[in-house]
This record gives sequence, structure tokens and C-alpha cells, in this order.
Amino acid sequence: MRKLSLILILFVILSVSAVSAQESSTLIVQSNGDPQTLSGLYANDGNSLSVVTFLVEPLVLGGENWGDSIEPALAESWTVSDDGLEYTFNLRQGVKWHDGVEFTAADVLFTYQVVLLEENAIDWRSNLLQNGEPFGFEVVDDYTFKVILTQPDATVLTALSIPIVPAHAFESTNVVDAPFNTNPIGTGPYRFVEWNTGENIVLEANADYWRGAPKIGRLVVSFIEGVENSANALLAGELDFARIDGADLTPFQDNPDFTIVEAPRDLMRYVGFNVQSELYSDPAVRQALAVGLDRNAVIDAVAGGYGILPDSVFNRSVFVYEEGRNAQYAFDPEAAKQQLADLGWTDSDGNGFLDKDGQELTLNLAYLGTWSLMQNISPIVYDNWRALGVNVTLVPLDDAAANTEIYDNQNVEKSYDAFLGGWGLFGPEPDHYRNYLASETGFFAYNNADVIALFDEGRSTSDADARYGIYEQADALLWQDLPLIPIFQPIGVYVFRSDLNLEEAEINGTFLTGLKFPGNAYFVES
Amino acid sequence: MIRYIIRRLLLAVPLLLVISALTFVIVEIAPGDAAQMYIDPEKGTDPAYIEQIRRNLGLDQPIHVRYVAWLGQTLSGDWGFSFRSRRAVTLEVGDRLPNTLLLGGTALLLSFVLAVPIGVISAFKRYSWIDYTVTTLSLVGTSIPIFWVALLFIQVFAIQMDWFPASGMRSVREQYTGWQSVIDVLHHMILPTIVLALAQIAGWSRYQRSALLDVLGQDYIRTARGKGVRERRVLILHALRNALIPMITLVGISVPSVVTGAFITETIFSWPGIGRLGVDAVSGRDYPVIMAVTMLSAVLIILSSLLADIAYAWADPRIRYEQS
Repeated sequence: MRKLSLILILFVILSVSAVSAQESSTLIVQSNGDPQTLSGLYANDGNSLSVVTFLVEPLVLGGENWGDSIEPALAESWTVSDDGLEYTFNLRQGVKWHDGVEFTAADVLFTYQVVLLEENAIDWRSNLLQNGEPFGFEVVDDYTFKVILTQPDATVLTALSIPIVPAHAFESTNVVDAPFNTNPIGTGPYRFVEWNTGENIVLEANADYWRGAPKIGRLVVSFIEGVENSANALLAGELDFARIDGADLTPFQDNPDFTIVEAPRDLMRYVGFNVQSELYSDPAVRQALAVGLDRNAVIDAVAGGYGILPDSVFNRSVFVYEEGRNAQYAFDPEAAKQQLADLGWTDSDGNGFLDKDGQELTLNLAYLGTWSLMQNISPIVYDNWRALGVNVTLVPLDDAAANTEIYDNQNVEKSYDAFLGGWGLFGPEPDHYRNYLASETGFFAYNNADVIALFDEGRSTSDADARYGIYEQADALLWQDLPLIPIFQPIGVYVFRSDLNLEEAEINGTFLTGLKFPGNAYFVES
Repeated sequence: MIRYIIRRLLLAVPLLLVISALTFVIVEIAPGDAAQMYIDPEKGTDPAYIEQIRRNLGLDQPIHVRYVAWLGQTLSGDWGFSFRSRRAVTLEVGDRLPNTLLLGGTALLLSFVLAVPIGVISAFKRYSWIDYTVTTLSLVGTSIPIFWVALLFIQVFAIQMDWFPASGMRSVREQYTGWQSVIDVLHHMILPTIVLALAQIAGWSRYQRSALLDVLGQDYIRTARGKGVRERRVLILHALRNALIPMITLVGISVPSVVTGAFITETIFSWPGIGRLGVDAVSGRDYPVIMAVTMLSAVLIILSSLLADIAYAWADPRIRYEQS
């Protein structure tokens, strides 16, 4: 009994001291679990990126996981030759790796060589290829690096936006099992300290960081799974920053201790059509179905209202996106019915479904049945379109079937009329949408010569204004043609302790790479 | 007895082989492999890239070749590398197992220490208000889902009262060392341990109650009482000792759940245990880790049921395992 009371007293002391000894210089951010890797070259999932984005940097920001716009990072500036074939990067001088060694052009060359090596199985390899051949690379001197193309390509800056790794930290260019993958060295604002598996990863401010030392001295990425658990940990003071959309926000609203920030995430939920299918090859039918789909109801039902109604087939992060430029397909079931009737689709045999020339308007809607989000969206689409007189059949598929039936971009023949999908496409570059919007074998089997021509032209045009004009045309064309109906882009709800003053921290030199891009991969579900 | 133990252990070898082969085949049959789980299918990734990942993981080999390779490696003590993290499986499991054993073991101990007296009192004072209270409480205890209790405890004791932490195993903001860090871990353990123990206590105390009532109805108890043995002595020496025997089996079969059964509690309390590791491995089709966790549980089940049988024979002289 005496021992028990002693322990109890110790707990009381401990909890009291925990309150009084609040260290302002530790920031605890949430991640769902252990990262798959700490190497910037392999990090491509939310858990890994939530750590890696603090440790390493590319030459230029703006790549898929690396920010919303093209900005200089390890390259201070760059020049493009008049023919658009030579990119010369002037590297930042005096930048030190976390172990004190100086960063030079040799590291850049090493990084790109590693990425190109096929055995390494790095996802970015195709970024560095042009017509199947690798870019030419040249180390001019320690601080000058040249990239040589065979034909002009305006997407090269985002393609090169791959984090640079230190050549001296590797024994060879085969990096699959390099010790670096669990003990990384970078040039970023934070350096790696320790990985407590299952618990957290501890990072420490890099005092020599070229943008200035981060204001927050110690950054802990804590592994807490699920938004409800994260919300509890925020309330209990064990987390300072987390994305908790989907959790009950009541305790944080009107609470001066917490700040809530909402930002669109670079994900899109959509109904994609098989544009080659007989019944849905006509854009007018697809438009009528868009008008007949209550997308706001979907947002309320499956995302608790945290979603943006899209007015473009591009995500908001794409540089060409402008709100309100395209006319919205507002929900109006009567108008949708009228549009279908004008196209000749009427219920002539009185069976409740529309038909034309003896053919019924049937629609096979495929989706990944194990994805709960799609399970929840499908009945709304079903109800809405059945109400128009479309004979919708739901086709839920298991993982293996979905991989061969839906997620196959090698064949033009598709087994579905339409499918429910959700992409995560990051960064400002519209060319990333090529696989979807300008490829005959893509998920929509969409083969529009005008769109493909615009994508090709956009890729080879380097003038920014001209590019904007090209993709603006593509955007308008795609919104008219509607190979997919974008349903919604989810909104992330980020909650952090108000006294952290994250905005100010950033102004004062703390460049929290991950936190700076709340719409981006840092917060993607793994 | 020793011959019996040796025979049981030898029998375990083919059993483990069958379990390992079955697990291997089941993971193989499950749709998708580690390479597919690694990439986002929506990205329309180049098939050559997926093939390269498969080659790197050795997944391009046929299943029997992979199984034999795995078996050879494992028998020589090398558990391989996790597909997901590329870290040694011994490291992955070794980091997590002690945490799970600490939490699960403490909960098991707490359950036993509390369930037995509760059951005894409840049986001894049958149909008293204590018995009715205990019966009602254990009914409530077994009926309420464990995650709900966990969330309620966090809301009340971690957030409202602020007595205990809501997540994790160690404080992150304060970096404790020495004895302070031990207290810190104990502090983090209290809520999850109680949550884990609650459902167990509810069930076990009922079991203990009925076992004791069963014994109390036996002829030898009546004989003891008839001989004028004091009631306290009857209860402790004659009844309780025999009523504890079924509990041995019960605790024995519950030991493996210490390793495998704490997944929900571990997730809600963000406890860095093996339950979360196992589930992550299954969803990522991470063969080496799945195999390690499965084999570990299998060995544990075999050993704990053997131990329970041995303890049973020791506690109950009527039971003999020697061949007749």
C-alpha cells in the first residue's frame, strides 16, 4: 500500500512537472505510421514524405511531391539556351550536407545516375527519359550543372525536381539496400536524429541551413493512426499539428488554444467514362449525366461537407486553374432529362428506362469494391442516374480484378461504361495529367486529337504565357468534352496549437517544407 | 513426464511446418503482391517498373522456390528483410515485441490477480448483493466493445482529468532519462493496461465463480465440512486449490492473445506493439514480416498450451500423461 501511494505521488509530480516544463521549441506533428523509407529517392507515400520533405531538397521545387510552384532550391538560378535544349543550373554555393561536407555538382550528377539505374527501381526514372533515352548530364564545375535534351521540353524543371542525395554517403550507385535509406543525410532544414520504430522520428534543426536556422529546434513526427486518435492526442497536448478532417471538430471550434486551417488536397474523386464505349462516346450524353449528378450530395454524404465542387478536370494546384472560368454543370435533374430527350433518349416502351432506336441506355459502373469511399459514392450515382432513366448496374471489383479491369493503361478495350476513381496528382504541372487525358490507352480510353495536340504543344513550348494559353484551351476543351465528371476535391482540415504561430515561424526563417504545402503529398493517405 | 514433453515438442515440428506452408500459400492466394501494394494503381505506373520491384524483392520466383528459400534462411536464423521498410525482420519484430509483452503481460497479470478474488468472493457470498453487483458489472464488462471503453477512458482520464497520457509509450516533449523514463512508461501504460484487463477480468471472474461453486458442491467438501473442518480452511485448502485448476487452462490459452490480440488497443493508444506491425504487414503483403509474426504466434500457442498441460498435471494428481 505504501509503495502504491508512492507511485501515485510520483505520477502527480510527473504530471505537474509536465505542465510547468512546457518546451516551446519542440513541435510534434502527426503521421499515420512508420515510413517505408527515409531516402528521398524512394519516398513516394504519405508516411515517408511526411519525414523526408524536412530532410532533403531538389534543385528546383515544383515536382510531384515538392511544392506548388517552380522555385529555386539547391539551384540558385538557371538559364535555358535559345533552342531550348540546354539547361544550365547555377548551384547554391556554401551549402553543407548535414555531416558538414560541402554540396557540389558531383552530388547532382550522382543522384540522377542513381535514379536512371534500372536495378534501383526508382519511380522517377521515367522523368529523366526523352523518347526512351536519358537526358545528357554534364558537370561544368563544382557549382554549374548542365542538362542536355534532344528536343525542347517545358516540363523538364518539374521532371528534374527530385531530391538530391550526397554522393559521399553511398558506396555504389546501387542504392536499393543502402544504409542511407534508414539513416539519411540531406541539406534540408532538419537533420535526422533517431527513429523509434512504431513511435516517432526525431529531427533536429539544421543550424547551417541556407535559408537560415529553423525557429523550432526539435521536430518530432509522431505515429498516431486515425483522425479520431489524432484529435484526442491534440486535445491531450501530445500533438501540436495534425490533419483531422473526418474527426469531430467541435472541441477545436471557438477554442482559442487551437487554430483550424482548411486547404484543398491534390486528390480528385471522379466518374470516368469509357469514351470508346458505344453509348457514352457522345459528349452531349456525358454532359447530361453531369447535370443529373448531385455532386454536392456526394460531398455531404461521403466527406462531411469537406470537399470542393470542381469546375475543371485539373486539380486546383495546376498553374492553369482559375476558379469560375468554366461554366459549372449545376445539378438540375429536369434539365438533364430534357437534354437526354433532345438527344433522342426517351422511354418509348414504358419500362422506366430510356431507349433510342430499340436500344436501352444501360451503364456498367465499375469501382474498387474494397475502397469504402467508392462504396459510399456508388449508391448516390446509382440513384441520381436511375432517376434520369439510365439503367445503371453497379460492378464492385476486388483488388485483383480492379487492377486488370480498371487500372490497366495498356489496352484500349475497356470492360466498363464508366468507373469511379480517385487520383492524387501533385504540383503545378498539367503535363502530369497526360496519362489520363491525352492517352488512348488511359483509363478513359480518351483519344481526342485536339487535346493530344495541345498537350504536345504545351510540352514543347517554353514561353510561360504561351504555355498558359495552350493549357487554358485544353482546360476549356476538356470541360466541354468531359471524358470524366470530377465529383469533388477533398479539403484537408489542419489543426495546430495557436501559440505555435506557424505563419510567423516561417517568415522568421523556418522553412517547414512539409507544413508549407498543406495541399500536397505530405498529407496524402498512405 | 519428460518423455511426454519431448514427444509434444517433436510433434510441434511438423505442425509448425504445415502452419508456415499454409500461411505462405494464403498470402500468395490473396489478391495483389507486395509490388502492387507498393505503388498507387491510379498512377498508371509503367509495368516495367513494377517488374523491377518484383525482381528486387525476389517475387519473380515461383512460390515453391521462395518457400524453400525462406525455410532454409529461417532455419539458419536469418529472418530476412521486410519488403516494406527493407529493415531486418529481427529488428522490426525485436523493436516491437518487448512493448507488446510488457503491455499484454501486465494486463494478463492484473486480470488474474483481480479476477480470482472477485470470482471467489462472488461464489462464496452467492446471491448476496456483492454477487449481484459483480455479476451485473461483469455482464456490462463483457458486453461493451473494448474500443469504446478505450475512447471513453481517453476522453475522461486523459483529456478531461488530464491524469494520464492519451497516446504513445513515452513522452515526446520531455526527454526523460533514468528512473524518470521508467515512471514515464508506467504512466503511459496505465490506461491501455486497464482497458486490456477489463474484458478479461469480467470473463475470468465468472469462470472462477462457477468453478468454485462446482467444487463446493462436491462430496469431499461435504465430507470436510462434516468432519468439522473450519469453513475458512475448507474454502482455501480444499475448494480453492481445486477450483484454480480450470483457470490454468484458461490463462494458458489466453497467453498467445497477449501477442496477437492487442491490435485495437495498440492502435487507439498508439502503442508501438506487434499488433500494428502485423496488420500493416498483411495489408502490404510483406511476406517476411507476416511469416515472422505468424510463426511467433504459432510457437507461443504451442508452448503455452504445453505449459498449461504440464501445470495441469502438476496441480491435479489425477491427471497423468504417461502412456498406459
